Amino acid sequence: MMASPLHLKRLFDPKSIAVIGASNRTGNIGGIIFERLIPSLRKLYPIHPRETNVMGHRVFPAVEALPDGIDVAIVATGAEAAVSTAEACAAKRIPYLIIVAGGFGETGPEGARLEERLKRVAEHSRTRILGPNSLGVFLPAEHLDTIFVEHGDKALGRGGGVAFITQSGSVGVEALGLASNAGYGMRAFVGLGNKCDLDELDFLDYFGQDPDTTCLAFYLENIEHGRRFLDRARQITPHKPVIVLKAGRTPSGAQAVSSHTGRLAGMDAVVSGAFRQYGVQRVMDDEELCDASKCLSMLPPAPGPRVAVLTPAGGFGVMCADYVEVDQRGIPLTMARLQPETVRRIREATFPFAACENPVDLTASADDAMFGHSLDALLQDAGVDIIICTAFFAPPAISDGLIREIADRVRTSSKPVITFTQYGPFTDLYLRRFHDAGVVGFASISRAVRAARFLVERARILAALEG
Amino acid sequence: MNTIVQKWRSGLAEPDRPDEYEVKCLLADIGLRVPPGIRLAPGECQVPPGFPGPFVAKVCSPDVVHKTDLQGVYLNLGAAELAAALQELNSAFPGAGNLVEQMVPFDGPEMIVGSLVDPGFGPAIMVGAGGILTEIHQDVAFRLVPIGDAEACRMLAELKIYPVFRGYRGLRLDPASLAELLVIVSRLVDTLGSIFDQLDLNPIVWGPDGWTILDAKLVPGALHKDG
Repeated sequence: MMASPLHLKRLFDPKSIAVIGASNRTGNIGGIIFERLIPSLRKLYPIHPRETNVMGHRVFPAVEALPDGIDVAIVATGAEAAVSTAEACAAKRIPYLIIVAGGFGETGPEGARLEERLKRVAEHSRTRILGPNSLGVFLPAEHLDTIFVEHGDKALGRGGGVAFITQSGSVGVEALGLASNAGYGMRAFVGLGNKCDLDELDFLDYFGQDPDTTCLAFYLENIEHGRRFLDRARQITPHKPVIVLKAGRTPSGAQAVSSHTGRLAGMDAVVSGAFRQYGVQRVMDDEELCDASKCLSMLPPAPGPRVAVLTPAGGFGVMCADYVEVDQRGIPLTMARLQPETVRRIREATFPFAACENPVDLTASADDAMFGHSLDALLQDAGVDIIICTAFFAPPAISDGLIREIADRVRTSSKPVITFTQYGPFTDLYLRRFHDAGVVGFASISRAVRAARFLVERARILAALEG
Repeated sequence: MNTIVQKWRSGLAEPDRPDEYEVKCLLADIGLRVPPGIRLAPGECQVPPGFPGPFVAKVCSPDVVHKTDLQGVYLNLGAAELAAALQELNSAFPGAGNLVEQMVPFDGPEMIVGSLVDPGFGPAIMVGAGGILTEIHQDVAFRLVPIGDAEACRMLAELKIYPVFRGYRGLRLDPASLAELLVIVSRLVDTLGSIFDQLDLNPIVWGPDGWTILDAKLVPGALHKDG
């Protein structure tokens, strides 16, 4: 059964938030979280036994003193105190708790006992718990941010549709860093922590139905209810991509492997097969997770495997063709054969001597407009499914106007256009400029080609679901 | 499927510890092809008249798991060789029964179909390049059970050896009927649940009568292991 869309709504759109353990002391975690929440313009309640005023807000001495109707309480105390606080919040009927503290199951038997108590709070009340050991949630567009560690999202201008749900805080924070550097837009970040109550299944359901989410990305070390997770994912994948990095590969069927099948399952061939069966796109590391999120949240599925490469720099075109022809991920790509009409149009717009076989090398004499016209011709070629552009700013007649030339065409295109750019120390800056203009860019040829494979894989998933 | 499996389980000589002959009877019951075979009681050396060779003779007991490694399999035997082979088997594995089957001629590579119960995702089915080198090739595809026809075809298409189904070097192994076999095995695995945690059908070969399962092994689940 699919959860109701109202489930978790108050967690992600709270009117009022209590921060338990917020003080004015420098470096106080509750204080940092409280400060982060001020721009959210939600009603905020700091709770601390000894403070009277935190950042201009009246302090409440204890959970019991809070008014009724609080939506979310963020518990930023130590582990021991967090358990009794959670009990008090449940008695107060606060529907959602984010428990930041570590020191639970991850530390040993003593912590595991505390975590058991937290679990019981969730079981015996209507209060739902995110964590413990959770960074909480971050919704950039809402300025709702409970992440107490520094995360470099500030450079990111443009919002996006990726719901990023992570069992590891540090992987999550670094993903935000990558997002910020090279640009991919987040709808929401959720730190699952130890998953004593809410887990990936809850967020799969929520963001699967959230209209502002275009793509779901998970970093998971264990999947609580494997089969149920996949069943629900299959209901979502017809509408949006679901990407999973499943870290910590455990031997499958570890119980006395006396069969060939058991040995062939090896580390986790079952996981790969099951993901494929249910339309979940598997990635193996953090860079792949971010790259897949970026292209799948912004670009349409590839109508086929035929790639055209447009470049003002011959070397990158040749390398790109090499990467295209190598079979990876079990998703073959091919270099498109351009139609004569396409070749004619490109020659007309550029130079009679331009190399118009694929890869199309406009040479360093190219200018912005030539690039734009050539891109038009490739987009209209019925034998081309995907276009990879090398945006190389070194040639004298290429200017920053190239970004607009590409962006204007990407916006209206039903074929995916992926950009590769390198510009010495300015590479990240230009990737962000492309991102802000709505163009998917990568800093290496291999990543641009890999992105094309994610888009072909996505199209295959959609076709398999129909068939 | 449920009824067939229940009836089969209740007829086993040792509860939930089937030998190869019994596993093959189950496979035949659900519509899969296995070589014509006869189980001989411990010590017995005669096959009934009217059962033509050439023969395969192998030890048949739930207690002998790695029978090839223990010299428990003899291939391509004439009538006289069969009697000698059975004598060898009887002295090497006293108290164990034997299985005598007719040799099945076949074309092209051997395939494997198997299943296991994944701790996180439950029962899964596998198909791949089979035979004794299967673990070196590692050319396999897994899915959770049960699967339909389209999914079974996608599993085959994922294999590196897929060209053998498409005319590679004149080979014309039929993918559609292998996909059908996969679908049937996936239903069986689904029905068995966690009573058994591993199944090996290896090798499965393509011959004049279609796909035939030459060897079959069903490993009891953890439930039955300690007892």
